This record gives sequence, structure tokens and C-alpha cells, in this order.
Amino acid sequence: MSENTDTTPNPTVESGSSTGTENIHTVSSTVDVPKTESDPAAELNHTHDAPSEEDNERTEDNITSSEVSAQPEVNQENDSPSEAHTVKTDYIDSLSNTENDGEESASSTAKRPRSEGNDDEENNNNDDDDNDDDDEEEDEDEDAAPSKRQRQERNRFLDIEAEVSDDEDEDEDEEESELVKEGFITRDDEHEEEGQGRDRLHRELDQNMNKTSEEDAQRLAKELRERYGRTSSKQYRAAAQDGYVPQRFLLPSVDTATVWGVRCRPGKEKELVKKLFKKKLNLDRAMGKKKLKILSIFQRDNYHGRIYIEAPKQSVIEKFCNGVPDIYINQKLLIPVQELPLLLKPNKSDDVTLEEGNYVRIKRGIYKGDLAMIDQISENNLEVMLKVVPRLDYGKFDEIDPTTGQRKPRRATFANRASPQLFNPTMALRLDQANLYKRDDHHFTYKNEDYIDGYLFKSFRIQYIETKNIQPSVEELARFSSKDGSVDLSNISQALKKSQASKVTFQSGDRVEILVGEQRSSKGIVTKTTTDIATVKLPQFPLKPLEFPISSLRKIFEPGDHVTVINGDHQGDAGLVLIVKQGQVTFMSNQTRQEVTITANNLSKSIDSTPTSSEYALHDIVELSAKNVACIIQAGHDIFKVLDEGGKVFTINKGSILSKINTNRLQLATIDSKGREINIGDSVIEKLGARREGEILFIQNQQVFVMSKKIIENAGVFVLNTSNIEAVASKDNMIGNKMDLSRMNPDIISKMGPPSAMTPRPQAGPAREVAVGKTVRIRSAGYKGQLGIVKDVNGDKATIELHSKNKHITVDKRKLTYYNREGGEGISYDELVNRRGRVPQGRMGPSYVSAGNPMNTGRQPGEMGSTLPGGMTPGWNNAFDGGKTPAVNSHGAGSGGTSAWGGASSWGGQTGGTSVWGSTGGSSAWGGQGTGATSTWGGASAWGNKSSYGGASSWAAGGENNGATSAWGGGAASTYGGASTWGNKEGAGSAWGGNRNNNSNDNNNNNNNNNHEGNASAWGNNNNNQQQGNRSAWGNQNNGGNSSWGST
Amino acid sequence: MSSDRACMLCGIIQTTNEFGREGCPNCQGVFEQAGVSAMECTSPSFEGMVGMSKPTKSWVAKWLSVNQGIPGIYAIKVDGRLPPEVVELLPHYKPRDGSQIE
Repeated sequence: MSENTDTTPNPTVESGSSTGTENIHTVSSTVDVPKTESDPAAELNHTHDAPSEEDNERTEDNITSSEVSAQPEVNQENDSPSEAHTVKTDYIDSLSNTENDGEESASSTAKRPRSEGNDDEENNNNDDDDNDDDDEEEDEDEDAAPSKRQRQERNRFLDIEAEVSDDEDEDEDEEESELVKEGFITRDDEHEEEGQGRDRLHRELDQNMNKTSEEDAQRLAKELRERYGRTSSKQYRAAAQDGYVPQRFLLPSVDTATVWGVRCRPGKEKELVKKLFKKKLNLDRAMGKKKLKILSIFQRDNYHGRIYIEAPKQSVIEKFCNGVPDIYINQKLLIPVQELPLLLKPNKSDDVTLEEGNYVRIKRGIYKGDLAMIDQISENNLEVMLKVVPRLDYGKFDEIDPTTGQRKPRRATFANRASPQLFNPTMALRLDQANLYKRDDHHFTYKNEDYIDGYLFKSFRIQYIETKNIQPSVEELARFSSKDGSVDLSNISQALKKSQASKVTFQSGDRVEILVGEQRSSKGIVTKTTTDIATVKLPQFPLKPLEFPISSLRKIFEPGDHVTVINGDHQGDAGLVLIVKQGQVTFMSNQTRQEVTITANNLSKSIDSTPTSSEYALHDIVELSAKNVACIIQAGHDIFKVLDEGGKVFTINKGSILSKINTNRLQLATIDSKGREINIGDSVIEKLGARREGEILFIQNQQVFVMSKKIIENAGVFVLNTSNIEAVASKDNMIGNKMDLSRMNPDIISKMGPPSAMTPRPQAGPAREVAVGKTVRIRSAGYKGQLGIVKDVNGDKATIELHSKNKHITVDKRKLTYYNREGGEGISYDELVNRRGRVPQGRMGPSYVSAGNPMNTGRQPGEMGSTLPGGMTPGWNNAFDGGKTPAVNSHGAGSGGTSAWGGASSWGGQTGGTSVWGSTGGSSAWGGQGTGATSTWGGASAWGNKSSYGGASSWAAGGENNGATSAWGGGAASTYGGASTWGNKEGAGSAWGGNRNNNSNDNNNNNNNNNHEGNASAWGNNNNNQQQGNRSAWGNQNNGGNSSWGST
Repeated sequence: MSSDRACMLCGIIQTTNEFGREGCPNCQGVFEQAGVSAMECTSPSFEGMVGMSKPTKSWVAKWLSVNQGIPGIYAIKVDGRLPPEVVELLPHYKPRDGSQIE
């Protein structure tokens, strides 16, 4: 009987005859040892099957060996695989617990009556207890019964091998069930045999042989127990025991799957499935052994009017469906095998995955048809918290029982629902206070429902919401997007655009992973894309790129990659990838400096932080209007957050940006609070306040945009006034140049009132060459007569750019004539220096030019200790004598000791022009200690002598030292205040608007003797004797005159 | 109909009462081991109805991995997620809500 020698070439299922448990041990021990099968699928199935069946056996007597038997390899065996696994289970049982043994023996005894009389393996009769496998036998081959009986007869006398082979010859179809039976039988036999003590010799022999492999077996059993040990009761076996069989190994073939699609009345599909299933059960019961071979019946919601029946034969279906209403049995067709997986895919193509923020529609209740937004999804994905615009009537329609005074709330129904409106707490308070609870300012509970910011937040089951094809109307969206109910169309269009643009885009060069199909989980590089299909080059197929639908691809990123968001809310954001987990990429945003998690396909790799989708990037300076600039502190695709020069933050869209200012090319400079020059790119620190430090992005008038990398707020950008910043590391600082530019600014200087504010400062830094930038005519040979512009001066040599041709030449700077840009008279270099770099103006009238001329004794400027810096406004000499009063430029005071200020300074004078303020050599001394001993201001200077005010109008006209009174607007013919003198008389105190000789002002002019002698300074006294009461006097009157100013 | 639920693990469809009374005929052991109630592991939202009369024979059963279950009516797609306690026990658990792409 027992053939251990009988093992077949297939090593996975080692077979032995079914005599005794000992024999069985051998078998089981060798089961898993070598697997050299060539067919991986078979091997896989096999290895998976083995344990599952053990469990079956152990838990119930429900043997389902179909899987094993379904494998062709197994079927080839002459020896039954079921034996092998019964053997194993028995072994495990014996090892593990006696409980199962008890069960086994119990079951075996239960079966014993039926199997009585059969010795080895037999008992087709107890198939009836067993399930499915038997059915088909009877279904299909009703004629098989006699042969079985024959076999039974034979079994008594023949050994098992012969019997099995016999079976195979007879009907291979039956084999699996046969094998199962044999499995049962063997086990039954084992017990019987133990009782009967037959084949002891064999068992002993086997035991000896097993000893070597016993340890292996124990280990195996232990492993199996560990893995599957918890299957103590009814269990979900598929998940637990199957192991993991990738579905691609289960792909159907023509042999394994025959599914028919049958037309039926649309809408009745589910009903029919239930009905047919019931019918099948009933038929099974009623028909006994003649069962129809219907394996399954199913329907899918998206295939209307069709149900599917899995049955090997068409005729069976006809028989089965006969007499069932609503099913059109004639219209059926075989579903092609390759379409089956699609048919049974859990996901339908138009399924929309629930995501927070999605719009859905509610299917039931008073909100039926209403748009809602998903706020939260419950843990088990079965309920969603929806944000809904509530429909409340606040109990307005409640009926009040007249007798009891009780409120009887009207039941809200779909028919009488209120119009959607945001929750109004005041209404609720007024009308239905009892049901209102206030949580906080934005959160109310009304009638046990939560209202936040006016929206109702309510939990709905997912079967009551519609997720597909949601087309929100503008009106509905408006209710959601704005709190006060006003329509913000731009918002809506943004939202719509977003939803439309939410299509994944792949670019060639993207690294992708394939998610579906044969090449699942392999990685490749996209070489070509169309709208739906991407061509991917896989390393396995270097020569032939494969095409994949875009939906089956996922981009691959790695930590450290720099990515930009190309879709979704965070569009335009960019950052560094931190974690990649199941297609979700978490990156650190450059803009918000927060972690953002996004689906991989919404990202694209980028080189820098500049969002590729936009023209404007973070920290760009943009022009909002002609006078308005701002700095982008958050760049989206179309929406930008900007900080304007006033420090205000607001959001604008792309359209409102005029242009971007390219700061790289700009040569903007300003000065900081200490007067240092600062440029774009310099580091500055806030002088007052938070002492923020940063780099200058842009300079706009007095406002400076500074960006600090340490500050998160507003992307590190803030606006400071120039007076509130200090340069930390400007380029000038590096050089060590410490010019105080604020002192060099004529505008600033001129604002300082002449005498009073002239607190002289030490001059810092070298003087600027006056000649630079001047228009010149060359006087020396070679280029004589040509015009040019002085570009640079180095010592005596000036580099001149010629107007005539593009050439730079070097000429002695003294051999040039300097011109005003508009022409006019040329002057020599020395003259230019004298004029402090001012070239003569071509204009008439006062033009406020003050050119430095060391006044007083006609010294040549060159002789001065330090040349006056040209172009600088008065008072620019560091070596000055502090002792003297105004005493600017006290250098010249050597002779005569008069400190003069700007003797030669002409106020808008033309050379030889009439209006001269302090002509050369004149004695006009400003606060000097001249002969007159009193400080005179512009004694000889005339202001607009021949101006339109009348020739006589002079300011300290005359120029004579002796007795000439400096008069402003003097002169007889002057129509305008001829009498006003500004200046002193000889020896007299400085009178401002003092008397004139001709004018007998005395009568009404109050000359107050503030000054030393003579008249007091008065301003604006009367004109030619006209006593019109120009009583303007400046200064205190001693004589009781009325002080008035400027009357005529 | 509305009281029907489907097991998120094996997909079998039963009435809420049946689940409440006896739990899932296939998976109750797992649920008990995980210490969760059968109601937590069933979903009222499912789609695709399969009358499975021969789970062991049917390719459909194999494809839907219900071939180890009892004959009965199963769902093809079951919305919802199993409690994590259950998922922990099942190394090769494949959700039936279509969220896993294969």
C-alpha cells in the first residue's frame, strides 16, 4: 500500500500513500523544502494554498482543495495532493493541540457510518455533506455515479495508486473533487486504521524515516502556527491565509472564467441578482444532486440593464433563468476575458474621491439638491462633515396652540423649506431664543446644529451625498465664497479655473512610477507626452519606450528635491521636499516657511524658488501705478500679496501689476541717517525700533524696501524710511569713504537759512573735481575747437569724450573752456573753480547761483590753502576760525580780518549782469569785521539792479564802502519800495531797509536804533515820500512808531 | 434595502440586523481578535452586487478575494475604511473602496 518511493518528480507536493499518520509525517515534512518549479505562478499558488487548506481542515471539515487541484501541475500527480495536505494538517494537529484532534475524531466518527465498510479510501457518499465541489459532479456528469460505485467496489481491493490513476483516466474533470474526497477518506482512514492497527509495519518504517525530517516538520508547523495560529474560529480566510496573491496572477483565462452578460429590465438589476441568488439556493436544495452550475450572479451600477452570470455553459443559464421575469434571456453574450477585470474593478472611472474642500450635493432632506462643501471626512470614510448654507425659518411658521400657548414647530420638509441664507444670530435670538446657544462670536448652536460663521456644519452619510458631476452655479458659489453674501466674481472664476485646470501635467524628463498594470511599480522617465498618454522609458526596456495613460503614472520625488506646485490651492508655492510617502510629498514652502503636503502629481521639479508659472516672483519689485511700487511678498499664479511703500499689505491680481522693476540694472542710491550712501543690495539696520536688519531690495524716494531672511512675516520684507536706517555694510563703507552726502546736497544746504543755520561742519573727504561732467571746448592743439564732455580728471589731465566722434582724449584741464550745457560763455578752469564748478547760465534774472569766490582781497583761488570745493554752497571750508561770528570761510580774513561769506557769490548773476550779489572785490562782507566794524551783509552786493523791479532796486547797492547805503530797491525811479535798504550805511548799524538819503523817511519811518549807530534796521519803509503808512518795521521801535509790516 | 450593509473586509452584504446579531459570517473572528464590533467594520455604502453561489469555484470570487467566504451576496465596492486595529492584523489587506490602485 504505502509507497514512499512513489514520489513524483514534482517536489512541491511530495506524495505518499495514505496509509498511516506516520507515513503522513514524512510527506508533510518535505512539503515545503525544495521548490524548483519553473512556473512561478504555479509555485506561488501552491505555496499559498498549502497553509490555507491546513487551516480549513483544522477548523472545520470543510475541505476546499479546489485551488490545489486547479493547478495543472498538481493534477499531474498521480498521488493526491489532498493527501499531502491532510497529512500536514494532521501532523500539525497532533503537534498543536488535542482539541482539534478531538474535533477530528469526532467528525470522523460522525462520518464513519457512511464510510463503513470502506477500507482505505472511498466514500463518495459523504460528499453530500461537503459543499460545492460535489455539486458540479452531479450537475454535469450524472452518469459518473455508476463509475464511482464501481470504483468503490474496486477500492476495497485495489491499492490507492491504482485507483487514483484509474480516476484520472476516467474523468479528469472530477479529479479535484475526487481528491478532496480522498482527503477526507484518508483522514477517516487514519483514525480507523489507528483503531484497527493495520499496517503497523509500514508505520514503523515510516516513523524511522521521518525521524530525520521531524525537526524540520516541527519548525514548519511552528511557523505555520505563528502565521495562522489565530484562525481558531470562523475567520476571514482570504485575507489572512491567502497570503498576498497579486491580482495580476489571477487574471482570467478562457478556461477559468466564463461570464455572460444578460440583458434585463433596467432598474431591476439588484433585485434580479437577489432573486436569482435565492433561486439558486432553492434549486440547490430542491434538486438534490442535480444542481445547476451557476457560480455567481452580479451587477454593476454603471452598466444599466444588464446582469452578469458566471456559468461555464450557456445552456445552464437558459435553464436557470427560465421563468424569471424582467430578464431577457435571449440577449446574452459572453464577456471577453480581457474585459472581466474592468467589469469587476471596484473603482468606476467617473468615481470622485472624497476630498476635503470638494463640492458635493446633498441627496436627501431639506437640503436636497443643495451645494455643500466637504469640511471633514470621518475616520471610516463613511460620514462627511458638510458646510452648507442653512435654510432656516427660525420658527417663523411655528404654530402656537391658542389654548396652551405651546409652540408646535412646523416640521421642515423639502417642500416648505426656507430659502438658503447664512445663519442670522439676531433673527434666531429674536424669534427662537430657546433653541439658541452661543459658543463664541462665530459659533452658534441652534436646534442642536452647529453654525459657524453663518454656515451650517452637519454630518452626512456618504450615501446621501452626490459627488459626481457637480456643476455649481455662480450663485451657489457666491454664497460660499463670501461671508456677507456679496458676489465676488473674481473669486468664483478663480475657483472655477482651478477646478478646470486640475489636470495632471507631465513633462518629458519627469521621473515617474507606473501604478497600474504589468509594469506596476517600475520607474522610468517620461520622454513624450500628449494630453492623455505619456511615453515612458523604462530601464527594463531601454529600446522601446512604453505608453501609459497619464492617470496611471505618478511622479517621483525624493527628499531634497526642489519642487514647485503646479496645481491646486498652493499653486506657485515652492520648496524643498522633506518627506515622500505614498505619493504624498511634504515640502517646506519657501514662501510661508511651513510644511505643505501635496500629491506628487501636483508638483514639478524646479531649479530655484521662482515659480515657473508666473512672470512675477517673490521679492520682485513691481509697479502698481506710475507712482506706486510694491514688493511681492507672496506669489501665486495669478494672485499676489504685496507690500507697498507705505508698509501696507494687500492682495492684488496679476492684472493690476503694471510691470516689474528690474532692480539689477538700477543705480538707485540714497543716504542713510548718517549720510552714507546706500545702494540696492546693501545691508542696513533699523535705527529705531526693532533693529531689524536686512538687505535693501529697492529704494523708492525716502522709503526703502528691506528684506530680512530672519523675519517670516511678509516674507521678510519691510519698509523703512531712509532716516531710520543705518548702513551696515555698504560698498562705500568697505572703501572707507566717509563722505556725508547729505551735506553735499545743495537742496538740503539751501534749506538751511543762510546765516543762522550755518553751523559749519568739518568737511570730510576729498573735494570733487569741478570739471567732471562739464561741457568743454578744447583749446589745445589736435582737437582744438571741438566740443566734448569731461569724463574724468586725473591730476591735470582731463579725459574728454568728444561730441564729434566716439572717442576719449586726454587734455590738460586748463586748456579747456568750460561751458554750460546750453551754451553761453565759456570760462577757464580757474574761473570754473572760482565759481565752484558753476558754469555761467544763459538765463536772465535771479537764478540763485552761488559760486565760491574767496572774496576779499582778490586772492587767487589757487592760492588758498584748500581749494574751495566747487559747486558747494557756501561754508565749506574745514579750516575755519570758529571765533568769528558767521565767519564762514574765514580763510580770507587774513587781510583786513573781514570774514566774508561768498563775496563773489552772485545770485543769479550773469557775468557782467546786473544782478550781482556781492561782486568781486566788493566789500560785501557778511558778518565780516571790515572797516565798517559792523557786520554787513552784502554791502556791495546788488540784487537785481536792473531788474524789472526798477533799476534802483538794489540790495546793498552802491558798493561804496564809504557811506553808501546798501539799499534794496533803492533808486529814485524805483516803483517798488525804493526806500528800502538792506544793508548798512557807512558806519551805521546794519539797517535792513534803512533810510535812504533822498527819502526823508524820518517822518514816519521808525528807525530803531538797535544797532550801533544810525538807524535801526527797518524793513519796508515807505516809498518816495509818500506817507502811506508803510509802517512795516522790523525790530522794536523806540520811538513809539507803529510796527507794521508790508503795507503800501 | 437601505438597511443593508456590506462588510468592509470580505464584502458580504447583510442587513444591519444580521450584522448586529451575528456579525460577519466570514470575518467575525478577525473582528473579535481586533476587539471591534462588526458594525464598525461594515459600511452602508457599497456598490456592485454579486450573488456568489460557489465561492470556491468562481473566478469572480477569486478576483474579488471572497473565494474563502461562505456563499452569499457580496459587494464589489465597499466604501469606508476598516478600523486600524483590524488593518494591523491583516498584512495583505486590500481595501475594497477602490482606493488602492493596482
